[in-house]
Amino acid sequence: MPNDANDVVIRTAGLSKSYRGVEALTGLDLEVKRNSIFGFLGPNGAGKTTTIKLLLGLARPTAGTATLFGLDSERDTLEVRRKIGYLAQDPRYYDYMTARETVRFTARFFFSGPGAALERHLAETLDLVGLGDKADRPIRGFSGGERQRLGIAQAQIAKPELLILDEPAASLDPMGRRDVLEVMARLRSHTTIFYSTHILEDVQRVSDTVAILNQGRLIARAPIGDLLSGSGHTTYTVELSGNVESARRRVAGLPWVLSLDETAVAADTTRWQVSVGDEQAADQTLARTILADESTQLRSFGRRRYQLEEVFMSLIEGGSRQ
Amino acid sequence: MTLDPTPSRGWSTGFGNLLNKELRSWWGTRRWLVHLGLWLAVETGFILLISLEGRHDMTPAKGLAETMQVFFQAGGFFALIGAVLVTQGAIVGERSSGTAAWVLTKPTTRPAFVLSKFVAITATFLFLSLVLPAIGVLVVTKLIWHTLPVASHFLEALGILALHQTFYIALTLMLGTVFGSRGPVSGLALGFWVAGNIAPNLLPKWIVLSMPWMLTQGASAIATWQPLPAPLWIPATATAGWIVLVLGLAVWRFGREEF
Repeated sequence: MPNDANDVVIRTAGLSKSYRGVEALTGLDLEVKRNSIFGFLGPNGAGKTTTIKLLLGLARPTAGTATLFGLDSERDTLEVRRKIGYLAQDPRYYDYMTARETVRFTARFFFSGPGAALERHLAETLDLVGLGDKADRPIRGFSGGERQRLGIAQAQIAKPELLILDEPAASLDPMGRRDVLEVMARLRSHTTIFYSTHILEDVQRVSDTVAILNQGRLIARAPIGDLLSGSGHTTYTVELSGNVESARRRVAGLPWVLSLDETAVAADTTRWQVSVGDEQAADQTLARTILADESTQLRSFGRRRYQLEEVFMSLIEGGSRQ
Repeated sequence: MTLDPTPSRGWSTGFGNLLNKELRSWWGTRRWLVHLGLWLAVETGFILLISLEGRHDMTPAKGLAETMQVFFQAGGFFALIGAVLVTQGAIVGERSSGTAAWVLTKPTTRPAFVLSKFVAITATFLFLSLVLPAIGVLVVTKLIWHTLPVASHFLEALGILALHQTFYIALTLMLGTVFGSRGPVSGLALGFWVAGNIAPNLLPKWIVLSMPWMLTQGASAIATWQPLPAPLWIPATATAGWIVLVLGLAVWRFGREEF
């Protein structure tokens, strides 16, 4: 098998889905690399869950193809599902089963080995997600967080090569979210994680690659670092007081300064957003230029770090980046 | 010790696991006990009451015949309603709750999903609503009328009634793959049975004969040594064919389902 096929776990080409003439997903081209944590973002109704259903063979594409591990998601769906663990957005299980019975039921689709080994594996998996002490309780009494942890346990019971998680932390409180993110981080050593979410803070914490979907179309796909670096130009945030006007004239005159936006943050403090075209020159001389006049005091200085939320909002409101 | 991967078995991949799960939903919960109590009360209890009431007015032979007639016709009717009610949510419920979509993300097939339900419901329901009440009826008959029906006739009638119930289980399961709520599923299944009561007056005889409608009447006639309303092998064979066809439709329709 060529290297590319080994490195790429999910590949979609022109993947589209419409329901009664309404386009839910349009021409999605996506590649997910092995051992990445791939965040799949978008507002409600963007097409995230539709994409996941197409990958899992729960729905049929109206156009395009999806391959997982080089296997067609429709034609080879049984083989594909042997390699995948899945957690639904609102996971539902058989309420009469206990947590242990639920993961045992799931495991039996994958394993036919000796009972003792299977039971040991079940116990380890339930311990991993913190449900060891609740393993024999009927799940009808489980909280949302416990259900979600059970969902992760059943999804990764067969140590799948790919975990697909649909909004894994959406219904959880901050503690539950932290737990889920920790489990995801622990699992990344041996699996690829493809997960949809609208909680941007979580994506920024754990993802290495991000795709943003809006109204069924892919509008951005990039490593998280690239996405957070902003529009391509480096921006510095500077807070200063004193003789701001003379400093402003000096900085605005620098040849690599592209723009300078000024806002007052306090009676004696002004904040600048300085966008530069030459990062190296700015690192070496921007602060010195500001401080050339002793009547200007520098309160803070640093490169601006974009938050994913800003990038997300600007992309959703218009424009695309790949 | 290491875990062995489950081998792929074509359409039946995952069938055994799904069948175990379905059986567990009966025998691993109190559901079986509720049904056992219900069917013993409805069928055996009913027979006990009418036998006690008529024991001074009827000869043992007449009492036995009446007992058999009531069991195979009235009992068959109640069990038919039970079969429809038990099966109506099997597919619809799992589809609306999301458990069907969850299960179908595992390495199993849609035919295995549908057929495991059919096998589990048929086996369990026939055992609880037919076999055990039938044993109860034999006990009542022996205690009150001091006689028993001819074993071969009784078993043949029981088999005919089982075929009849199996058809309605298959039909209800198939309707569950078509409709999204329980109302039309049970309504159409029971409507088909009602149509069978009207059809003999409206439809050509060959159509009536090729349907399962005459089976309860036939089962009762066999058990009571009465003349058969028609050669029973025709509706019996046709019903077996219908069961296969209806299950095929269920598997085909469920295979096209999108979640």
